[in-house]
Amino acid sequence: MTQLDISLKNEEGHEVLAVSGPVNSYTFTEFQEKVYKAIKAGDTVIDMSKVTTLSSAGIGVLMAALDDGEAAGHKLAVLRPSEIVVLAMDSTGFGDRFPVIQTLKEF
Amino acid sequence: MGLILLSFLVFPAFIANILIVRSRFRGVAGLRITEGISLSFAAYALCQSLALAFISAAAMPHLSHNLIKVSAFFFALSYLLVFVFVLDFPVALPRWIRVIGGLLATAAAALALWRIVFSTDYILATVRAGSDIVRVDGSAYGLINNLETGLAALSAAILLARSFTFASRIQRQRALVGFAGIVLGAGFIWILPQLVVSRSVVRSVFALTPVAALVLATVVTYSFYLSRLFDWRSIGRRLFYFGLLTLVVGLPTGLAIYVLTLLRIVSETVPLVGTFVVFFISLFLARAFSARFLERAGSFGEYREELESGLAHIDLSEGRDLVLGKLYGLLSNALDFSDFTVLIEDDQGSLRSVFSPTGGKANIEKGSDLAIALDRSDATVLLKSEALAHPAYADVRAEFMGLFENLNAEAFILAREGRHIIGAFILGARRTGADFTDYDYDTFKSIYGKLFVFAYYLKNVARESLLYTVDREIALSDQIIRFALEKVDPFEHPKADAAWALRYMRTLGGDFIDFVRLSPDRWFFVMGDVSGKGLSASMNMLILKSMIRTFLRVEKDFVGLVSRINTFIKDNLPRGNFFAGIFGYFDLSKDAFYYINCGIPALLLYSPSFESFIEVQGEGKILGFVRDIKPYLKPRKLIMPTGCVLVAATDGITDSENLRGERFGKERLRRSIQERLGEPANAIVDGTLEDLLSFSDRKQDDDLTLFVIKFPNRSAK
Repeated sequence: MTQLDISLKNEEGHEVLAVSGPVNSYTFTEFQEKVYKAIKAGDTVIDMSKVTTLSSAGIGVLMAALDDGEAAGHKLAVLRPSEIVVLAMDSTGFGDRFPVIQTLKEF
Repeated sequence: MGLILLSFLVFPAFIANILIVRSRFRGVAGLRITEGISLSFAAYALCQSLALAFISAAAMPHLSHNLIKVSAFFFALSYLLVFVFVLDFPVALPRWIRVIGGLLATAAAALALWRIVFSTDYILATVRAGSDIVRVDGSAYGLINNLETGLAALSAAILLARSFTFASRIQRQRALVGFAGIVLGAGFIWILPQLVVSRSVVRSVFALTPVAALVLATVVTYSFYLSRLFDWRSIGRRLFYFGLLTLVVGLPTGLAIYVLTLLRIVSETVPLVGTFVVFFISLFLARAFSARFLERAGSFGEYREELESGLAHIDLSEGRDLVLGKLYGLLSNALDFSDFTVLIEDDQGSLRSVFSPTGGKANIEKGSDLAIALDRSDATVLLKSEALAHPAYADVRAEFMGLFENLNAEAFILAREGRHIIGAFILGARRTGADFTDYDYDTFKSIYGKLFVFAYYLKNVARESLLYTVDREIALSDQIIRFALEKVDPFEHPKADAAWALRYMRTLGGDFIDFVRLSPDRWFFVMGDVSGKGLSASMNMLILKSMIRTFLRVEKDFVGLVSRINTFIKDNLPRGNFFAGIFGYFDLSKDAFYYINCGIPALLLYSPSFESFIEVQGEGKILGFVRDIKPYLKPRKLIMPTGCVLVAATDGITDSENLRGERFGKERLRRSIQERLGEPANAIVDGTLEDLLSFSDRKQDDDLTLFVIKFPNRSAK
């Protein structure tokens, strides 16, 4: 999968941003725009189970969204991150700071 | 005992006062008088405290009596120095007045010495009486005391009267602060004896008078170096809310505790437990009240957050004119001014106007008195009030004020690399005529990092000539990379063979490596990756590299240095940007390498004893994620044995993938280097990168940085 696909769906009463494909230097702008918009509007869940690559720019978007959410009083969670996403988050040394959930009930 | 201790504590407080002011204003005219006041009061406090201790212990009566007399002389001398101070402050009176005043003060000091120390006119005796101390006054005691009080009152009156004559608000404020210090300190000293049971029973008077003297000296000294206007609105609002806090939480708490104490008749436990409960409840209420009202008290009508956010969203890749236009728009909206001038350092090292929507033109020539004074001052924000009143600019005041007037300016924000000024943002006067206050000053400080980024961009990146090139991005990138590479100190030492390579995925990139030679045997080392790609990452890399060198000059603590860099990234680079890399010091005199891993994926040490590599990077945390990084930073130390090789690589190397999706990884990196251990460091670097590119079929998805240092020959020096 070389294309990034981001869609907004409603799961169990929550708005979920489903991301699939690579988040890299070519695609992160779209990822950035949609995540920033979502966290500004309210609580946000990002389904990253189908993300195949997460570059440092993508990690930066998650970091900034965490800050934005904290400032606006909105929650952010990463739903079922793929192995590559977990590795990328852990590579920051702050893997435990990313709010990871496996089911929407945890949100 | 407590009073004697308090009395002794005042002495070091005076000395600290002197040392603090001296460290900030060394060599400044007028400083000696304020130092003289503190020193004279300090001598007074010390002599009197010693005398108090001796009398209390009923020891050495003759010495203690003499100490009391000497302390009384120093007290009189202090008041005389305050009088001399007011003749010269905030602006010197005509010379003839100062000469006459100085002569009178000298004569009065000599007279005081004679009458107080060398006669019995002032004090006949000071003796212990039970638990207290009794002073037997001499015939002139009352007269001398009245003269001292009169002198203090005259000094205060002179300052008050002069405050009405100043057109400048800062000078008026300084005079009034000095007046308040004298009234407060001398007033308390005068009233204290009236409060004790008998004027001759003086234990508490002896102990507390130095405290009041300390207040006087401190406030007068503060008025000397005060150079910014108070933000009275903010102070008023905060006082109002504190008053409200006292009324809403403090009074009910006091009342509840009082009622509880009445219950002592019933039980001793209930009042005790009840008091604790009430205390914690009121603490909780006070915090809630403070969070709701007090923290907002200062933010009414304030603009800092909005301005910071606006500046953070200016995109430097939009080009010089648009960037400057947006910067001007944001600042002028927030501060309500129209005049704005930007000076940027040219190739000759002088500061020249590069932008002014209202046509202001000014230059600060390299080597001019003003340029030297500004370089020396270390200030990043300078208000007009400071230029007018700050002792550090006394020698260049006329030239400096001329510049302010010429540009209709009220504030300078100076972007510095180390001490060196690379740019100045000059803000004009407010349309309302209101002065910039402490709040504005703090705001300028808080946006300084962002303005530094703009100055750096204007100086190094956005040269007008380059904007006309056809492919602007490529031109900029070339310039950026060349500049970055040129500023690396060469790493050359007889004990070590070091080499590194930096290859960008495109022409632009965020990886960087830097060495700063600290001494013939010591180098500071940083290597890593600023997140993001292309022009933006390159620019952030360059800014960060420059800031690291700036911080390196002022921050001597390793953890403190990395912590400051973290704060800079968090506050000043675009949000979501972070740095993953390593900071280190090579001390080749001790064969040691000290380092902090901030997210470097691979730091490998080849040990000749084991003939294999070991991973030594340990756990690392990236910079720019959390605000307080200090608790996470773990400095480490490596001793380099003979024949060892140290290798550092960024994630571009370890994460490179081939067409089958396999990673190059640390194992391949080790093998590649191990095969070339007998070769020089630069051959190891080149060969390893060649192996990597062959592995990935010459496809490069990220910037690559590799550093290798060998320690082949321990005996060579």
